[in-house]
Amino acid sequence: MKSKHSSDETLLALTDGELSVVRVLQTRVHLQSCWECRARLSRLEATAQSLAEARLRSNFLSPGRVETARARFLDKVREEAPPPAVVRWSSMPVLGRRGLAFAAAAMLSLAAIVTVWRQSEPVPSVKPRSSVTVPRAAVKPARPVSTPRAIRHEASPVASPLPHTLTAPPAALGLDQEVAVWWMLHETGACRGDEVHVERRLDKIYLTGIVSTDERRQDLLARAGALDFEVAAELRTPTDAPDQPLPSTPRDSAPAERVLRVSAPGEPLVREWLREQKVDNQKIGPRTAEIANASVRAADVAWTEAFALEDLRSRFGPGWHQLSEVSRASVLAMMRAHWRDLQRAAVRQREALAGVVTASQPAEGGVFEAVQQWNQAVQQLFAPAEPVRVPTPALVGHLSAALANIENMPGDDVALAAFARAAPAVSLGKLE
Amino acid sequence: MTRDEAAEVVNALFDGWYDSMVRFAFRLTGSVGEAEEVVQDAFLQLFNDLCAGTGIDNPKAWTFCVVRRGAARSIQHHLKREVPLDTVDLFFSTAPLPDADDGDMDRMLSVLTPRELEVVLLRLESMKYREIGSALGITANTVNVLLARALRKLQAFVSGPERRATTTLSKRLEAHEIETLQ
Repeated sequence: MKSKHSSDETLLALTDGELSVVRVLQTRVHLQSCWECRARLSRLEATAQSLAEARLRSNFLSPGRVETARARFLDKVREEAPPPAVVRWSSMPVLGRRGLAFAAAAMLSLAAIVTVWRQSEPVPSVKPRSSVTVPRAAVKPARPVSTPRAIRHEASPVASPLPHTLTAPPAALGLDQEVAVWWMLHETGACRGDEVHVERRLDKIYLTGIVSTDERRQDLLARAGALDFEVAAELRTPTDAPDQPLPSTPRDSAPAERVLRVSAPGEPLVREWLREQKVDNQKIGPRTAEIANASVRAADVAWTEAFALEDLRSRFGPGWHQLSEVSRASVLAMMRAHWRDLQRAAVRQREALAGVVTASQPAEGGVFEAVQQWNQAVQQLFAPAEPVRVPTPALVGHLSAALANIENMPGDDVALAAFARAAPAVSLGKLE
Repeated sequence: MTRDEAAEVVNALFDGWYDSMVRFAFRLTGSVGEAEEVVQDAFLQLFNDLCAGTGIDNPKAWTFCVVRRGAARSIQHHLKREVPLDTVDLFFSTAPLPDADDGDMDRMLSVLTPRELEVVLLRLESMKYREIGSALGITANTVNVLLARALRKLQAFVSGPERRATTTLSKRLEAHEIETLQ
């Protein structure tokens, strides 16, 4: 016997507005007379409601993400060559011709995120990801990048021969691959002050952060694509997202050029010295500003270099003995370059402030501490963000001591050789 | 279709449906970052196909279909490489990750079969049966049946404790929930 009650399906279709008019009427009439069906209907609705509420609670998408995604999409579209135009009739609604204007506006205003995705092994996939991989293929380097022989690294070992043992760890990347990525940053100059973070995970090295120019970003992406292992990169340039504040790090504290403040305590010292040098009164002002700016710049460079040195030391020092010969040579070459630049900055600093800094005993501590002290002293002397409490002679003393400290460090090769011998335990400042 | 017109269509979809698609893909892959990747790829494919003059009746359903395929592929890809998908999120997600509160939704949906899950997810995004059907390659009638079945299961799940409280005394005695009849 056919039940005269409405089925769940019918009731659901009724609430969802999916029934034909005739059946809607039939069902409504039935519902008016049938308690049981009404009860079932309300239970169905209650369930749907609790589901919808649970979804609302778990809504994690922020409002701005659509725009970010749209900008990303437009970026990808722009990167692709326009496909051959086959104009055919289609049933798509044509909504207007604001497309280009919109595209230009969005591209100008929003962040661009480019992902380089590189397979380290050919995946014997049954379904090729032909159309879906288009965007990733599109950002692969067009031109081959010549990688110096010294940093060619073996590809990471491919997946384990026992794919069914769940406990087997995925093919892990080693420190050597990380060195290669660092070398890449070094070659493009991104290690000098750019906020790029290198993170090694299970099967990939992640490269995230902000690089100063778009050329450098393109360069990095091209090089990353040429490596033998997977590097996932999300790099922005400051112009990509002007609204987003840059991450604040110690490096931000010293922009290359500061507006000279009248209250900078170092300024009178420099003026006095210039007067002693019989410099023309007209030129004392501009010369002072010049010297102050040169000092701030030198301190900034030194800070960046010291940061890079410290980064290298702390990253590769502990695992020094696991590194291959090639990687060790790469790390040493990078450190040597940073160390040389640091010393040059110290020389420039001393030249700029020849009349102010004095001969001094080296300070305690390693390179990092010395540069920190140097940077702080210069900041307070020439570009104080707030009134300086430390007496000026003390600041000059700190600066002189820090410079002496760096100048008295052992020659680069000696220090670095010591690093190579005993990297884990020592700080670079105490290598002898 | 010109690139302009295709951009217009994609633009409209972005406005109306991007969030829905990411949510849908997220429920399948369990990773926000991967979900966004998949949706991006789908939009790009839609754009290319529209430019190439492929007739697409319902771009929304079409894109959902591509998103679904992409999500399935990404799951397989990660299963093969034994990398948990949510590691992707640590780096590539711009969204705050769904927090513990989300467990509610997860627990509810865990009682469904994959097909039912998909139907429910798409219905939650306010899609019509016919659209859901063409996204999943089934008829509107099947969607109706799956949806009703899913809701019945969810109903049992949601009202679980209450229902147990109303079971007959003899059942509760058997289950040692109560000692004696008073």
